[in-house]
Amino acid sequence: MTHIPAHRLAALCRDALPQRKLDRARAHLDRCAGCRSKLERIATGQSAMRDMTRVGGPELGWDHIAARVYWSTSSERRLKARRSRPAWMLPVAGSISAAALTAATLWVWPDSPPVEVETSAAAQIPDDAPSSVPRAAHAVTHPPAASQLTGVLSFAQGEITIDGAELDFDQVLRVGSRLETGVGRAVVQFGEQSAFRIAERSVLQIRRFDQSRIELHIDGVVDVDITRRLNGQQFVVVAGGHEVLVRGTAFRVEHRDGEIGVSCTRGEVVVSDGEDRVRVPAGQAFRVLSTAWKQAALRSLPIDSEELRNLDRAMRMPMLVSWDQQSPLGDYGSVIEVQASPDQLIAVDGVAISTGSFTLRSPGGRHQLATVDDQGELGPAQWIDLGANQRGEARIAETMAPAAGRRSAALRRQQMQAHLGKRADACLKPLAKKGLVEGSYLVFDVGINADGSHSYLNVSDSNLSPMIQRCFRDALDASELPAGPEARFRLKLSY
Amino acid sequence: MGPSVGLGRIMRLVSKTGEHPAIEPGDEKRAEAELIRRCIDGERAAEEEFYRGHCRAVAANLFRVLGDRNDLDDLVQEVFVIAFRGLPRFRQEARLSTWLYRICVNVALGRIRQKTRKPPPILKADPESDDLRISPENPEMLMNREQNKARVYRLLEEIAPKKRLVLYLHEIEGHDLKEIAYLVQANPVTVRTRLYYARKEFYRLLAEDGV
Repeated sequence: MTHIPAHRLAALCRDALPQRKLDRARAHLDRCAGCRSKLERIATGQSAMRDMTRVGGPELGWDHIAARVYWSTSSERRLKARRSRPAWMLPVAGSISAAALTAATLWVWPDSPPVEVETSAAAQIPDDAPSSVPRAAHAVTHPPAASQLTGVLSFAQGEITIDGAELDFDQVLRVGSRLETGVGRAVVQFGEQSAFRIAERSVLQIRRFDQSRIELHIDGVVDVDITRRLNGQQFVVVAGGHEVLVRGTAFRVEHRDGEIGVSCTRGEVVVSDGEDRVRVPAGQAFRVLSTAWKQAALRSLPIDSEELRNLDRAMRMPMLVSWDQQSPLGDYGSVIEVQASPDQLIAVDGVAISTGSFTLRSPGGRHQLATVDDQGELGPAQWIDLGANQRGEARIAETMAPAAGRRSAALRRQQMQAHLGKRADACLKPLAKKGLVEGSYLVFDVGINADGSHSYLNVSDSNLSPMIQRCFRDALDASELPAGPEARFRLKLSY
Repeated sequence: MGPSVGLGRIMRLVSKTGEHPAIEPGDEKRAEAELIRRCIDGERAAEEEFYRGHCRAVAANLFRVLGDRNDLDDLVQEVFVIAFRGLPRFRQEARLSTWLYRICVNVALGRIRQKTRKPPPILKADPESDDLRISPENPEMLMNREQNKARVYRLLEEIAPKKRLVLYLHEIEGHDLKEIAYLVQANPVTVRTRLYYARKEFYRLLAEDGV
């Protein structure tokens, strides 16, 4: 007896059989218990399949996911923007005595509750507080009451003390906080995409830290990056008796051995000794001996394009993507402690952070760590999973050197291109007939697993029609690669 | 050129290229185009709106295709990162939700390929799911339904990833061949072939399961 194939039984359940086949099937089912059992199992399965369409998704940490999406896309976007700008427009870090900048109400991620800023009398550093940081040449006025700000460390490396004590990464920084570095660096974030970094062998004191004004006193080097501020906000860096008043957003202040240097990478800053002022726009720098201000030529000069690029790269600071001033510190994210050798440049989630070991604040979730070579290519990655407000450690092995990653990528690229071979001609046939092949290209982002399967295969760029792109993609997708190293790379096909 | 003529032309062009069937005219399409433009310009409020408007649907799509919620937040993140990257190239030949669905399908396929063969978890009822709300008074029936769903997912795991996806999109989500071709970025002939073999294999497994 010939039994009914299972897929025909399924069609019967769906009333999708033509009448003749339906009659024959029913006649068979009348005499065959085995097929009746199969039919029942299939019908139950189809009922379950209908139920599956009604399944909604589970509730997830939507805010966390949103923060991580923003982290990925904004990092990429900024990198692209910086690469595409002409050299003269590249942000120039300027060292300038920063003028006091009033801290503004911080913009928060839209779904977060509105920021309720604590109001209290603006705290000031007492005049007799011990400090090696020179005071401003003129008096600074303070409003009677202003909402206090707090800052958190988003990055730390090497020798750092806060208020004379060994670094506690979770310590909140407020007015009066004093950071000192030896061979070390730290980034303090105080708002959304707003932070300052204290460089090696520097002392920074937070003299004012409230809604109307932020005043930092520096003996050493500080980089500042402010993305958002409201009208009337003031941000000042004071160095050697001079103030740097910020109108722009990214600049460097250097104050060492009596010399003040200011470089501006984005926006504009103004350097002042209380009487004279020097504008330093983006792409320019200003240097002066603090004792020779009156004799100096008070103008800024353009920065060499290569130096500008280096400065811009050096000024990039790791920051949390979303910021809520009033949440408890624990809500500011988890902490990754990275152990790496001093010559390893480490990228977190594809963004180069630093060489050597460091501590980084980041959102909870899964993060990718990889080494970066001098070509900017990422090496093999490792992953770290952090719960909300959790601390995790990642040790970067020597085997994660980018050279290994490049070799893997080269091998897999070769394998894919060998497989593509003649299939490319078939895909390009419609264009070849019209003589339009020359100049065509496609760029694929490719991920290959150790078993040779694709983890992803996406067209990232092409000047070919969607149909031809699909043809290439199908051809590459059908490639069965042997087991071997994992690899992630870009495959460009040009004709 | 009046709107009806313009739409007709779009429909003919879309059919000719084998792309996704026509998009609806009107305010909804314009609002979508405006949102896309604002996202491409880097406006954060627009990106937030885009994300909040689709995140649950994306999670639900991935959850249904994959049958478990392990790493679901990573996958949702991946979908949106790909979407934001690809928005400048999105030519609006389909609805935004369809385009996003296509990305979900690709991400899910990548995930299916990555997963090693292991007994799939029982798909536990989501407390917010319709099932519990519809029949809270029939726990035995509910358990049977959940077990049947888990059985289907287990059998789907036996099928090669590309065939599994096409089968899922057709037999469970109810998409036609043209839509599936758009979603999996394959031509309809390939989709039809895959579906034929996928059905044969899956229903054979279903019929013989537990025997």
